[in-house]
Amino acid sequence: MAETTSTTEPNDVALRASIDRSLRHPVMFFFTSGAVWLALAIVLGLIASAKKHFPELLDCLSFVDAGRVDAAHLSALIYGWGVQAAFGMIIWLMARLSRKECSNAGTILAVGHLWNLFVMIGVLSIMAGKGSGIAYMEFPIFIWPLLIFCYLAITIWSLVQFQVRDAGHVYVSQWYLLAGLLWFPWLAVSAFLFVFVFEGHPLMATAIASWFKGSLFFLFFLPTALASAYYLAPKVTGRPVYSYNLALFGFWALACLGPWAGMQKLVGAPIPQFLPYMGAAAMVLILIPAISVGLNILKTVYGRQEIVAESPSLRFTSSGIVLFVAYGFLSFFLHTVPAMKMTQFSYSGYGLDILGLYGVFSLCAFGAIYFIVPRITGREWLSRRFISWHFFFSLYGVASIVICAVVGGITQGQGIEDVSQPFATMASRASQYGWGVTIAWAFLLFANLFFCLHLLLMWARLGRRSSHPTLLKGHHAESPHGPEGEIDNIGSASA
Amino acid sequence: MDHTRDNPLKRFTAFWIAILLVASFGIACLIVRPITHARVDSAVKAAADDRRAIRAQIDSAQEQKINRTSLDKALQSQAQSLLTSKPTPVKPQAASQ
Repeated sequence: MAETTSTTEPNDVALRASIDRSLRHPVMFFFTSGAVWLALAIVLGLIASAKKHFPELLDCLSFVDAGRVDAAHLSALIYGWGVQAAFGMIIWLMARLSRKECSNAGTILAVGHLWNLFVMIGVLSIMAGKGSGIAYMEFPIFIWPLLIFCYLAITIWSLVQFQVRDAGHVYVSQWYLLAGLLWFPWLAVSAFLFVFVFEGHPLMATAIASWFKGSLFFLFFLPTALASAYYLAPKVTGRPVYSYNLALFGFWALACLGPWAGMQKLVGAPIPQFLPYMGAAAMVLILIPAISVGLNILKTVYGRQEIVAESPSLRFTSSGIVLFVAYGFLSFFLHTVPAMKMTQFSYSGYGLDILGLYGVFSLCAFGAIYFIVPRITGREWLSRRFISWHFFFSLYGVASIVICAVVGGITQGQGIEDVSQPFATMASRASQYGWGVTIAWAFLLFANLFFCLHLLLMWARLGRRSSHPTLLKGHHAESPHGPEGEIDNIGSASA
Repeated sequence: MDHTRDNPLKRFTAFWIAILLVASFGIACLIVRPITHARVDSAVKAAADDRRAIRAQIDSAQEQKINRTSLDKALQSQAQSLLTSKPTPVKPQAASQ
């Protein structure tokens, strides 16, 4: 369980254990309910993807027609899995870094149930044909104020903890956590008011919805993932962050570029032309924070490849960071003017979205979950094999989705541009890649069923009672942690 | 532990600052709204005013061309013929066809 072997003061150990105990129920609730939503989102994604190249599938069921199931899939992925995993990471990381116990666990847990209820109503409404029809804001209008209220009721305690933290250093992770905590309500409140409440010009409402869709990843999911990476990389390797200045640069680069992203999808639409091109420029320049963060985290773990290979949390986190660098390069190439002409109405955007949501955010979230859960449950993960399968199927699955969607999208775009060919030729070319995406979703489903089952077993406190961390390698004859044995909760929370 | 930074008053203040901070996003949108909407509406309104002016010109040109007296006479004679004619029942078979 202890992935670092540094000695710590007894008081410090007791404080960390008490923080973990205070957050056990809400954090486990967010992680497990998020994992269940993730499995459901992947099933819906599988159906949505299959319907793109095999429209007759389940055509007798109106609630899974192509438009509804695609919207339900992305909504479940974002608000069911993504935001809930982020909640668990935010409240645990902020409590640990501020060194404050959570005194509002009951409130957070109760509101967490409400969040799940509203997301469920939203997803069912979409499938009943009552969705708003606006990408990433598909839930019916009345759900949004309730979700914003729940968000505040869950996260406001973390802001209070930060404010009353012990005087001293503010960690890099805390910058990202604090920024993500405040950027999400800014995005959500602004988008809700300008899209649904104010009677503005419908074109500008579309532009603002597009901005929300683009910025949600950069201003909420990405900061949360990077906060976790900046916490875990030094923690597990036992090294300081490679460069504080580079971390500062990466943070401000993201803060300056992230809010401009999103409107690039509306190139050619009758809105002021600088807006989509500003979005495209931001998407190109996002390579800068991607390289700076990637360099910083990977240099921190460089030379400790054995730990990266053995530690589930560091393996997932490092992979997430490598995929963030890949995201930066892919975003750079897909948002140059010639590429945008070809990919604007193709699968490519979907590939980039999934690379961000699953490849970057979710892999970092899995890394955090593999680190946090043993500490708050006092139990170790049951199966190395489950973790390995989860890792490899996730990685191969997301890589396949991205490659198929991007290459298929470019082929599709070429077909659309080529007016000498009938439209059906383009559709038949793209459908080959559609099959690839569907099979890749099946890989992800397989991976996440194991993850979900594993997490539910841990929630039921059926994990191993062991003083050894779960490492992705065979046991040594003599472990550096001593013989296998039972541990108490304080010991389990010591690292 | 530095207790000077963590006390109920500090927590209470931090809580309300956080609430106000989030509320300020909504308030900022409310402040920005009339400015943004005025810009959008003025462009639309200018185009609409032009269209209304063209419509008014057409309506007045048409009005000048129409001879109301002869139109009234024609309508009167048509109305008289309708009044004097007797209605004939429609056969059910014909109605069904």
